[in-house]
Amino acid sequence: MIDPKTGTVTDQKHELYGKSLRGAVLAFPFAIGSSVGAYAIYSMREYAAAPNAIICAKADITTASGCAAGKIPLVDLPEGTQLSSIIQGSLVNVEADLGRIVVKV
Amino acid sequence: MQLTRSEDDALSGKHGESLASAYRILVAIGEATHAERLVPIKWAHVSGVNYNTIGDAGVRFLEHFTASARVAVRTTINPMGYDRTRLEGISEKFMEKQRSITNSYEKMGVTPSFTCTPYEIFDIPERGSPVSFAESNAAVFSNSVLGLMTNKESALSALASSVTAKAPLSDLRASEARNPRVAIKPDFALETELDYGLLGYFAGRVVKESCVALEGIDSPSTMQGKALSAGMGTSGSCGMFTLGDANGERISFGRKEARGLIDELSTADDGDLITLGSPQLGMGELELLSRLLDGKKFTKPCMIFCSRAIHDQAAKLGLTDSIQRSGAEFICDSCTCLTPYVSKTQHDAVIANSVKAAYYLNNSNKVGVALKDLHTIVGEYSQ
Repeated sequence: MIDPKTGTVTDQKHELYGKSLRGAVLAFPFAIGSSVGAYAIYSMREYAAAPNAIICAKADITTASGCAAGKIPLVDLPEGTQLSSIIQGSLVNVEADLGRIVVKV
Repeated sequence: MQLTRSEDDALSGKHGESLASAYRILVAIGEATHAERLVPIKWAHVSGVNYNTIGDAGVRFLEHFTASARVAVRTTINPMGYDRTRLEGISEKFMEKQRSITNSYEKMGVTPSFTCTPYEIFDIPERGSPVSFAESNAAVFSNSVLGLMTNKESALSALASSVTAKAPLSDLRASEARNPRVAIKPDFALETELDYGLLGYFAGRVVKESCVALEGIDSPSTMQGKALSAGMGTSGSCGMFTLGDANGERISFGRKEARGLIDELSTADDGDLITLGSPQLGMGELELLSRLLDGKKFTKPCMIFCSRAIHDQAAKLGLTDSIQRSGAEFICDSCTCLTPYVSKTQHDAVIANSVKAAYYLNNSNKVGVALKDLHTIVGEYSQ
């Protein structure tokens, strides 16, 4: 769960609790939860608090639709790649049109 | 994805900005879910109607979107935040924002159903018909009981489907995904609608697939099917259940698992208000409630959430009078989840029979829940 006005993670049980997603490349497996999660993602763009790009292990409907509405570049991990190969804090370059993710180690 | 010439035209903006947005959303989903193409749908059910679910940015999005967008297929909508005829306790600000949302949807030409159970009110298309349902209980129920074909849509994907009358041909809209590879087998006899809700919630949580088999249970009644669907839709990505076994893994659902979920979701022993909803009640549940009450009166306030269409039909049959004599109050157009009627400033805890309601009341409304089945609620709280 996030606060769309600031892009901050508000779920106390989450490892990213308190962190801001604004300007970051956000990577996660896929989204679960209510259908209106798409509006939460869209809203971050409207409040200028959106991540610069999102990487999913397997993008779901909520994430894909929220990113499309909010014009947030979204890519899936290539087949066979694990999310764990991207370490928290690394510099990542996402070229959504080419479907390319470059992780600077 | 292969698009037709006219879909391509719309995507590139030839038919206006809203339609281009809608196609961008559908294409994004199609690419993410490996859809070959878009297919026509017969019905869209849109969520994101209650102001508490979409906020100010959502209000502005809809205002802008519906300046030109118009529905291209039958479109029904989810509950709003409150009953249009019961405004006490609703702030001016909430009403203003809610009215903006309602006006946007009405401008688009939606059917103002304000219900999470459109499948109980409107004519059902033939089995195998593709539809686009954002309300998760409706998606699961329609796939599993009515043989319709939808994924668990987001509020925006259903909205996009409503103005294009299209949806991506992927996942549960294609037959392969509708064959389950995992089965859940209860090892005790399911008795109450709460048992079914817990089964659904458990299945949604442990199964990472879109479709799950439920082994060893009889065909559920409408009330049980609704509870099962609502539970399943709440906890994960599963959008459909079948009855019978699957050719793969079997996971047991026993009293221990059920107890574990009750411990998680039932966060109070008692409450100061009974809320029945999530999903909104239908004729069957109202008839049952009336029979169970049998002239008795509730000892606590009781809110019954149901659609205006069901309420008005029940009223004509004398059913609402008989239930109201118990002291219970009907609340239309809205439902338990995220309604300002149930807030932590007014209620420490409520009594509910719905797993979905318990989840959202705990996590979103921030109100405690004493989770009990309907028979127990009437037994304990009426005389």
